[in-house]
Amino acid sequence: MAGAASECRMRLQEFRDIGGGILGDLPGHIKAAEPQLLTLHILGTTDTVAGFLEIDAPTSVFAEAVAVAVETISSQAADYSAGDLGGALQKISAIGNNGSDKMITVQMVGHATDWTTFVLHTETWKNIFHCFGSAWGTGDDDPAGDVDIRTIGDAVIVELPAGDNEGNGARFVVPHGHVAMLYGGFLRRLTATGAWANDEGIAIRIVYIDAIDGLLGLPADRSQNWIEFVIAGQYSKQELEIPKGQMFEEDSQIIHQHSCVVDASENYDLYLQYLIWKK
Amino acid sequence: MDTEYIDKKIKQCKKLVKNATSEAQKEIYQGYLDYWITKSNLKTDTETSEGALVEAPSIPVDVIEVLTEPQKEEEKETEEKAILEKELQDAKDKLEELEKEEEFKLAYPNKNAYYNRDNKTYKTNAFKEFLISKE
Repeated sequence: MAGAASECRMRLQEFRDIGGGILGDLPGHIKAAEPQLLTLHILGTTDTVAGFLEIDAPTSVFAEAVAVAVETISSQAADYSAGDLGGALQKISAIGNNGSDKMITVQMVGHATDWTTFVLHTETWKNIFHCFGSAWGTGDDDPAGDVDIRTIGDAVIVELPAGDNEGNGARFVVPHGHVAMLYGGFLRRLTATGAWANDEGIAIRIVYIDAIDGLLGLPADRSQNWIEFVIAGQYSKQELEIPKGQMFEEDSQIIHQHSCVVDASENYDLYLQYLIWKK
Repeated sequence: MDTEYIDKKIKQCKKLVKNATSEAQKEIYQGYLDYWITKSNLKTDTETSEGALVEAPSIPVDVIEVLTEPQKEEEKETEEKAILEKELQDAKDKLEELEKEEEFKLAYPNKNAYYNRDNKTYKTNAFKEFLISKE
């Protein structure tokens, strides 16, 4: 299964927090728009089948035309937020688009005494892409149970598995009224132990889909395009630099896919940067 | 899903509908409210129908005779055999799952294979993905 147990670390930085060197070669008018930086660092595991499948997919796609509230819940009472009383996970952060069409990271506080009681949060969202653990009690430094971010109808959007602080989700939606630019990164082939791989190669696709197809689940009657990166095998380069400059329009959904070229024994390391700014 | 949980959901949805910031948002929250009200009604219907079993329509006598006829020896044996086979298969499945769990723990020492919710044990997503990848 593609992306099985692959991990994506997604983070969003505001313009004021981006290191100066990263933006060095950007034209002045983009810097003036104060772009946000979205980074995805994917530690990819092998596929057992050939063919492109999504990396670290969210549990369900959350797409609302109007922003609405969401809930969080844990499967274990040991996750709770009251002080340092011995609890495990206290807070969970989500990355997504809010009601003002801005990509944001919001930290959501768990139930004070027992997070198996669901908590409704005040922030409203149009999309949620990813989650990660962001505050812990003295009991443990990761969630005791599976912690879910879900709709009010109990459909899980993204989740932290017990014992893991990085949730699922390696896709995102360019907020309405914004554009996104692929701003470089790298793709590196590895063995399971982290050394250079000695195999037949891997391929990565960045697929971009119009909102009407990707989010609403309608038949794909509009175009789905992709950019493909391939490392062909042991006699080619082991590392590939992701180019800068590919632009993505507002409301596009961007999905990352992986496929082994021939054999099923390749791991990989994929780092991607996207700049997002208001048009 | 207990009644208390559904009631809490309904109460919460009503509050959300009341405090919605736009008509469109109100519509979405109303959709959730309708969903939970339906769940609540379904639960009530099930309870009522269980209660009504006592007054179920009478069964014709000839049907009762067929139903109460003593089971033949042969049928009994087949049934017992089927039960034994099922138990054996269940035990085999359990053993296989235990082996897979051990394998999973070796591959991902930081992840749990199971979690508990509402007094039931479920497989974690990571473990489910692992099992699929091994198929």
